Amino acid sequence: MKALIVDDSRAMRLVVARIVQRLGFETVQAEHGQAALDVLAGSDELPDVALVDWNMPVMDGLELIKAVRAQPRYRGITLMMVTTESEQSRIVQALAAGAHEYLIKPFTEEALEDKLSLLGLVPATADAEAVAW
Amino acid sequence: MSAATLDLEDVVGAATLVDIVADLAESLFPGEPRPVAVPHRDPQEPVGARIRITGGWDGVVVLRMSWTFAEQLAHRLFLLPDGTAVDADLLDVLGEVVNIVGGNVKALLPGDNQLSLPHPRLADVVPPAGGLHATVLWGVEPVQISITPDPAPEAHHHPVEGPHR
Repeated sequence: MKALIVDDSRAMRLVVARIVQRLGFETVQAEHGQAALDVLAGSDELPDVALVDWNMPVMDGLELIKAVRAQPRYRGITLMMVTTESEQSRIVQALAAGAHEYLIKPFTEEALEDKLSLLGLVPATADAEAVAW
Repeated sequence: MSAATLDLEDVVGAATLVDIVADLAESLFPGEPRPVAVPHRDPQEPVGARIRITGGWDGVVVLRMSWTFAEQLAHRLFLLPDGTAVDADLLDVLGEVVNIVGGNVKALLPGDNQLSLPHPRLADVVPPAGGLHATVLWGVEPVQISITPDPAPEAHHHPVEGPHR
């Protein structure tokens, strides 16, 4: 499994990368939406999931999600917004644009793992199974 | 209700600011003691960051911590050997902390608001007078968070910023 981590904060990219690497993902990183599109355009092996911050310079996460969703070649990529934007209206906006999941910063390692397991990207945790039931 | 007349203690509350920082600390360093509220205490040799909220409420969120603590956070987050963090590492950490606090504060404020990109500085960032302030003790270091309404957002009233170190 491969994860693309898109965040303008190098610290946050590393925090997310450490978590998903422990879960068995290879990671690639991009510092904003346009850089992420460049990574995808140059990839022979597309990521299984993209973990996308919202507020970034050059191209924000919402624009990135719309751009990815507009490309049939990228339809197999699961998109998760990982952001400090926590209003209900923003969550609705991101999901409407094509995000599959939404995680609000700050988050725990367990919360990220639960979201990935709900998406079927890692084996289900006990917490995620409880939510599913 | 204008930004200047909104009661930030009612709508946000100093305890919430403490919780946001504590949740962030728990997220970054799981299993470590959570930061706790303490009476006002200035960080030594402060550095900081600000982020603006505009829309239904206009104002600024300011973060202050000591240079030493910003350096410690950078070393720990980037897994760097002691003494090898560079300015960009500290700026990245300051920016992300204020971004997370600002985003969580924004969600509590009335109206449809936008968050600016963070503006970290390796210098003191003194918040404007008034507003809501909280100091948390993160490990042994004080970290200050302030939220201050901007009575004239169109004037782009920025907090006073000290000289670079």
